[in-house]
Amino acid sequence: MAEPRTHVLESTDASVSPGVLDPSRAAALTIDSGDIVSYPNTWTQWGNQARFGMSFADREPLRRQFPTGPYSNLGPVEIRGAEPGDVLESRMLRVKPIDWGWNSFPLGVGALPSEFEEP
Amino acid sequence: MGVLAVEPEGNEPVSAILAGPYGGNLDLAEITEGTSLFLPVFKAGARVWSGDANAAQSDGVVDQTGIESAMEVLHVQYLVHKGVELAGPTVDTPTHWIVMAFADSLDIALPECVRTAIAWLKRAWRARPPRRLRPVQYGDLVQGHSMGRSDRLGLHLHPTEDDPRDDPEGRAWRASSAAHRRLDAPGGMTLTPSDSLAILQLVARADACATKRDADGYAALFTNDAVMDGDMGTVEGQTALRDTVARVWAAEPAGTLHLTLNAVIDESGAQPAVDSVMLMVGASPSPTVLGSARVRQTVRHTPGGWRISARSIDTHG
Repeated sequence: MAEPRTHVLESTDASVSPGVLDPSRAAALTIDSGDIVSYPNTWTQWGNQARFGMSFADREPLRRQFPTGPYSNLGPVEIRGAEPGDVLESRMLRVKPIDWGWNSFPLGVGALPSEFEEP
Repeated sequence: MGVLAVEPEGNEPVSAILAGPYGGNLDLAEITEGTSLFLPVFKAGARVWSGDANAAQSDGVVDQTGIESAMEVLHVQYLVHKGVELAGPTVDTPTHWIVMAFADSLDIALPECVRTAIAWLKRAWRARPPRRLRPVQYGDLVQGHSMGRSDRLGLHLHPTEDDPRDDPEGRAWRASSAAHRRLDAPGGMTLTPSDSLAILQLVARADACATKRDADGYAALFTNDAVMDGDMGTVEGQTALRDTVARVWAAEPAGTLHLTLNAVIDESGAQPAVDSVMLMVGASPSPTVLGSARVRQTVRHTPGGWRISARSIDTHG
């Protein structure tokens, strides 16, 4: 195998598909098997509009702006030569989150859907 | 990473909240630095998506979210393994194999997941020569846990031997055959119909090569470390085996047919074996039986398919 090359895939409006895996998107990047993709600035949910310190109430309007779902899905990366019947291995070489995150508990979901009165 | 997916079949957008054999919102804490996720490919180019960065999460998400975040560093190496069968997401960590199954309820996902795990262990065990197996208890191998949602389940497999990256036979093969470490299982095995057919074809092909005096083709049906014993003594290794059969065949009358008759697969041992009767039939002046022998051939599953690992010929039985 040739020396693996490292490609960089920035998160932009063109490379992020909010909510869904969108088959109509052209490849954001095309690489060879064995190559490495560096994703330097992945987005938070709702098109990177989730910010540190937001309350649940702050996030609610954002949630409604993204009816297809919250995730900032980045891609697609196409690997030359991959065909149905093959297996794709994703080796997680380096993973480092930003220095904050949040957890929220919308009403009516999860393991205890009816035991809380506020989100 | 919460979401890592290849694109499933079809041209419609798929919600990244969902998960399936293509991956998706797996929410598996183990998909992190130092591990590998294996996914079956559904479209040309695989078209892989990533998303839902979680700084931390439990096994599943009991309140529907983990510690939702983003990544400042994310390096993923993508490798294509050609022509490998895989039912769905499979994770390789330094200490575990994890298989996953998906269904509308845990009641359905659990047996599905256990079946996937068993099929996987079975292939691993079959692919391993028995002398290299070491007993372990199934109870230690498999531990189930719910992924915190009703539609998914992961089974963690704990093999006795760890670092999978030491395996010289390659990751692709391990992806399909899974816990290809020292495993054992009680008693015999059950072959699938397609395996049985492949094994019977294998021994038939060996005789077709013998009839054609194709020693190279014949040797290619054997494993590298194959052993053959019979009147010619004991021969070990593909090369020695090829040279020996070429010499034996050269001494036979031209046009001699090698026929394998009444082949029966014996599944009672650690590896399947085929018992058969071999007839050698001379072509001229009229068809004449020149000899017969009982033949037992042990077969092994390799990355290239089934191969003969031992052939024992008893001309006196």
